Amino acid sequence: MLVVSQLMNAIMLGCTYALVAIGFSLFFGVMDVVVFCAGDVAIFAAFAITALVSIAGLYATLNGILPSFVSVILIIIAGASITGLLMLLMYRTVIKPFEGKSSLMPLLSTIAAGVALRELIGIFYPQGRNPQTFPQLLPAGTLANFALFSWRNIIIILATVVLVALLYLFVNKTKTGLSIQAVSQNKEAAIMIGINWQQIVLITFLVGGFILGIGGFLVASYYDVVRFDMGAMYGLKGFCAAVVGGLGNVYGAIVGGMLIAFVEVFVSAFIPGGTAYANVVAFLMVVVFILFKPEGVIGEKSVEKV
Amino acid sequence: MVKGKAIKATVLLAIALLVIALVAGCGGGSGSKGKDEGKAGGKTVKIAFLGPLTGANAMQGVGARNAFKLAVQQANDAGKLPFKVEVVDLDDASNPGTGASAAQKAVADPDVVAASGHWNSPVAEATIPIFKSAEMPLVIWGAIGPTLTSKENYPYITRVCPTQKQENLPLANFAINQLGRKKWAVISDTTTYGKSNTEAWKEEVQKYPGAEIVSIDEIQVGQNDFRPILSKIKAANVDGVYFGGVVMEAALVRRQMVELGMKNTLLVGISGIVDDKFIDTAGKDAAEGVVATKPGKDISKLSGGKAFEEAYQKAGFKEPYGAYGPYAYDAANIIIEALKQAGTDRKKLVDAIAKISYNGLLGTTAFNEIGQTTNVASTIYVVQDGKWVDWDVSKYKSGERKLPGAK
Repeated sequence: MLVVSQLMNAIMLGCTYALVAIGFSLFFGVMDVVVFCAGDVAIFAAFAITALVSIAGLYATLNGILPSFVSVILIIIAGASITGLLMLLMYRTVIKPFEGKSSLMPLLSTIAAGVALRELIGIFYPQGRNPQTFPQLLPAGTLANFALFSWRNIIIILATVVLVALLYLFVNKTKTGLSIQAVSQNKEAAIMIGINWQQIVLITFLVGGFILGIGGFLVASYYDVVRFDMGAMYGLKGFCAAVVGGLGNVYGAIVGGMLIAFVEVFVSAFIPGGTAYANVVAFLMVVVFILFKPEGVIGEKSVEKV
Repeated sequence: MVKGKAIKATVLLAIALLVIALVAGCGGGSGSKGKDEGKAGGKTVKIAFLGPLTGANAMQGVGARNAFKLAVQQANDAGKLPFKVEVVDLDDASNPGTGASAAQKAVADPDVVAASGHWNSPVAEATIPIFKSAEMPLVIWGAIGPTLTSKENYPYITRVCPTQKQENLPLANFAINQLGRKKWAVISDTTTYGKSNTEAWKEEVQKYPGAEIVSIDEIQVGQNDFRPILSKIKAANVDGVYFGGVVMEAALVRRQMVELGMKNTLLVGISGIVDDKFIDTAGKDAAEGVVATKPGKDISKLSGGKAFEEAYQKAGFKEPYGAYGPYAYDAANIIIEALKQAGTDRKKLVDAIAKISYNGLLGTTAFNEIGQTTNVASTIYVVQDGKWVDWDVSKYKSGERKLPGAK
């Protein structure tokens, strides 16, 4: 029983890491850049949603004209769209100027942008440096009176699965998605066969930002609180998940997220006094991966990737 | 060319934003209102207040700051001193680094003659050497790490609130002796505050035959997910969970306990969690039946309590004065009393404060040979219908309701 509930805890944590790891992988796959502000962008979405819900009258009016689950979905989509646009802005301001230069440049500039974003939330959001209670938009209650299967947990897992499935369909079955793949595999060849490279990049950032936004929403729902500085750790864990899974590989991101989450949960659950070391062990595992399997669990065999 | 300009403009804008962010971040602490307020024949007497005015514990610091200011305002209005006193409030953001620079700022100002500070013990640890080397008295209003007051720090550092040791004693007596809970799980944070709580609680538990601690888990401040720890504790089937940390993590622990079906497991804590924000964040239903101890007696039962509450309301502060407001209020009055006795010389103030015997809101405060208050009355609180209620008047004591896990 204990093992089952710890498994559940790990899966939940893994889902939250995986979503941000997918963002990292998507951007890396197409642009060969590590967009380090992904965690902060995700948390920005959580704040945007909190703000949308607390704007006087908006949520109530929506609830008045629409069934409540529709207005919840609308608000989530609005929040995620805001981060999609934010990601476009990020691309234009801190990534595009460094195109064709060393990949260290956008790495640094996105770290800086992440810090700026975090601090701006802290300064400009009302009481932004205090933890905010996140509005509970997901239904309460449990499935069949079983504490493990609360609706919220089920929805978070399902949302992760659906999001990944949609992403799979988008990348493999639509023309735009195939173009993203083409650009990711060989930019020059893709341009030669007439793919509008710039447009593909913009779409990738929009979609990536949207996914990060949904990720931020699910994380905040799982924790019930948002803090302005949550994005730093969340982003770092997501990045590690992406590296462990294989940077640039969307499915690897899920595997990596789960791996890190499992190590964390099981160290704190089954090693006496291990709680304080959960993060230490998780990050050590990342170091071991970089040393011995730099291409990640299901990454392509090329050491350059990391 | 146009493109280049656009990029330049964006970069400039970004730099401007960063500068604004930095300036706003640094300038927040020093409220220098009313320049002529503290002047007396050309002399300004200032006392510094340090505490978490922003960050996760801001609700504690702001409430205490308000109470501190109230005391000074009352003294100024009553003409207690031949000069006016001005409060300089400095934000330590619960961060030792920020606290240290705030303390530097306080001691560097020749007009500041005394300081009162801190809710977080690690922050106090960082600032104590600064006050000691400047020979400025520091009256601690809310940090409860046992080692802050010591022979080495005497007479510069005094403290009006009881230490964790002094707090854990009545809680253990209540939870282990009176309620008969024997099997405990401990969750504390990794700060000095959390670690010394774990130590103090361990010591207390050992005093009672048959009582035991089955697990100790250390968590990070700022951690959000306690489900793995709680699932483990659930399987261990304990009589109670002791939480040795502060509001935010405590509230999330309680919330997640209920989520995991542990509503019927008792959660106890010390004064760090006695705050309305705990109930807000944990949720009214989840918080029901949580027990905590707080030093001091219920304000409304104290002789000066009613007058204090009325004055606080009247002064128009938006935030509640919180668990440590009364301590900050007494700390301010002790400094004012010392100013009256010894004048405005920092060194003379140090001795005057250390030797003081002051009859204030919380009773008679005097300091022992290491600067620790000898006034240690405490009260057990329990959450009832979304409020912290004195155990003695609660429905739990009268038997109308049963605590989680009561047989």
